[in-house]
Amino acid sequence: MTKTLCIHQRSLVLFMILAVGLLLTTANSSWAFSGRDVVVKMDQVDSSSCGESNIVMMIRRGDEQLVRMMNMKKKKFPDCEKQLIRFSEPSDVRDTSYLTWSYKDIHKNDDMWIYMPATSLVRRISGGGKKGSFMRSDFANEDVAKREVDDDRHTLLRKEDLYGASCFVVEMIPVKPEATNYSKRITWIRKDIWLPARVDFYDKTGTLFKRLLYGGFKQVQGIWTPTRQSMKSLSRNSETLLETREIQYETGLSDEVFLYSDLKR
Amino acid sequence: MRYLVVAAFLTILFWDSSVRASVEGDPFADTNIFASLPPSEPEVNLQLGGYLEFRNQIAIKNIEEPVSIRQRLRLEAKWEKEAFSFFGNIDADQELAAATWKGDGHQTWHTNIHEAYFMYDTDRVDLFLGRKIHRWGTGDGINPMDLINPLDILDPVNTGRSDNRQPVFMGGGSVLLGDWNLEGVFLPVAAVNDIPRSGNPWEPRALKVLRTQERQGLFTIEKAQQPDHWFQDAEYGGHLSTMAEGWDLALMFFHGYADNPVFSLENTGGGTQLIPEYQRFTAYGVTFAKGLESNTLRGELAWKPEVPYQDPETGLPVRRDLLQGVLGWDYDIEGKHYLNIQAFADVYGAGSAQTKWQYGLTYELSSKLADDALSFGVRGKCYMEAEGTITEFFTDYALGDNWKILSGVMVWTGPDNSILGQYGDNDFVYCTLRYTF
Repeated sequence: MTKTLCIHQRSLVLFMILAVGLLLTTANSSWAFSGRDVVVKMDQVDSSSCGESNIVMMIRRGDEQLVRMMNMKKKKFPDCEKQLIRFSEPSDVRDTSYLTWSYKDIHKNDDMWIYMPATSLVRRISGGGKKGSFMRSDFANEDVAKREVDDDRHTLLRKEDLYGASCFVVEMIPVKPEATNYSKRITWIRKDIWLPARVDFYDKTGTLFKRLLYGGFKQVQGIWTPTRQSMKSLSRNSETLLETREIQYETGLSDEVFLYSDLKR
Repeated sequence: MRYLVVAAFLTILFWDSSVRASVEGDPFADTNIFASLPPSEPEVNLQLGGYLEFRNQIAIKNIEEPVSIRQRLRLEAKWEKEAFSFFGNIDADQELAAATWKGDGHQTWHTNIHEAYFMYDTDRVDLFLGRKIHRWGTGDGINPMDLINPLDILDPVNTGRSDNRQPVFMGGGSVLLGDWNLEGVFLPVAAVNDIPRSGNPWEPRALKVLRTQERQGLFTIEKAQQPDHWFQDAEYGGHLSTMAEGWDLALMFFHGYADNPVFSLENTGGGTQLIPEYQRFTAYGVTFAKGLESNTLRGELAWKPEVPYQDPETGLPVRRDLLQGVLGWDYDIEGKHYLNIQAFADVYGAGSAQTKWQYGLTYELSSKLADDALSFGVRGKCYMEAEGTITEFFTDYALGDNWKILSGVMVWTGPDNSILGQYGDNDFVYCTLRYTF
């Protein structure tokens, strides 16, 4: 009897050691990740198939304050993610809509259209505009578009605490440098919820020129989501605050919402 | 021992805190900067808006006869409930320049319901009915198959390479058929260009000559009989579009009236009469657009058999086959600079002995400065066959979110009897101040 108990105890201890070992090599063994692994984990946080939100943006530039409001819908498809942004403020661009199909195949050009109610025309636009400013803000159009994991080469630089949160620091160098404003981005990715906490943007000369902070982390329908962002242009007195509100995942958006032929007022 | 192992297991399990319900480390937790953001707009069915605009177009050659000094108040309303919606806008205009234009009947005050239409919008079927602008085409400002809305004859020039259209009453709808979108438009009564009043700055030179000859007693010009019989004078069109491998493709047709009348001479007992007549025609077209990195390609091709045509040699109304093509390319440089060039050609009497070509280019070269608040550049259109040019140098400046200042100069060149050169007297500098609300 004592011998049997002893065997059970040994089995339990062995099982525990194995379990702990397994845990150490998965959840808690951060040193085992490559930069790409970390970015893949970050990319997988939003596990929803579709979602909607309202976005409020304030651009603070010297004495000037500009406000933009928009509604964003997005849906994942097997080969791409589709995103529709419709502006409600400022009033002179009310009902202007941007539709983007971002392909997972990085060698395939994204498809983009704009609907301008003033001219009643849907117009295809080129990817060159991605480098331009998003509605005169400190965000570039490429900053608000979906970026595929394979758009960059990733290197895990170090682990570092940021605002009390333990983070991986990953260097991201674009595979197609001609398609972006940036020579590289350094991203702090939280180890606990796998969301970005900070991104430093370096221009083509290698100079740090923009910094994006994420905050307001909330679980929405079980999905960790950053609801607040601050993008600062470091070389000038300019900051854009962005708040994402009324976030809803799995809203059952139909495929037809993302057709260019359906863009209208 | 067992409890020790379980305790160690639980400690290690929660070491990483990966299943915590809330997280620390929010950089904005101790700040209230986001409190300055405006609250979300309440979900309302009715939205109101509009703009107040002061527009001055001062003629360079004759400063005492401005092309336009217009104050406009535009009010807009949009109502939505589930699949149903309504959009409408109304203009109240004061055109002070009308008092300086030659001729009679020019209105200083003008109130106009611009657009007013209902929509029923579902995933696969959309319907609309009302007064509306409905444009077809992929080109920039030059679209041979954009035949539904007539020109705004009081204010035909939008920019150096695009025009203004008038909304008209129509009904229509679209249905999704797999990857294809089939659209139909029906105008129960045709919409055509009005004939500008004598003295209006945009009165075509040929019409001016005819009116002068009328005053000399050579003939009388009959009042244009616009198509006005409902359903009998209907116009309709179809548009089938899809997107394949990054190419936007569309096939379309339109049957209706040519927007401009042709003039025929008739001798009656009372003398010679010049009779403007709007005539029917049919058009078939195809368009494409394709994005390539920083470039976009656009193209349109239209075939208009037996289109009504005023023969410039004989002055008589005839019918000619018309082939129209547009091929455009635009290039976006870093989101800051923009280049757009389009070649176009109109071939009258294609394949016949009387083939007449009109061809040329439209272009825009523009840049943005001051955090994109200021954009400036040059744009225009030029014919290669002595039909003239239009050139616009422009600057647009956004002042905050609500104010915009648009200024520039627009110049026409070419022979007096050419398509664009006829407006050479209208060369103007302009300044527009617009407050949007």
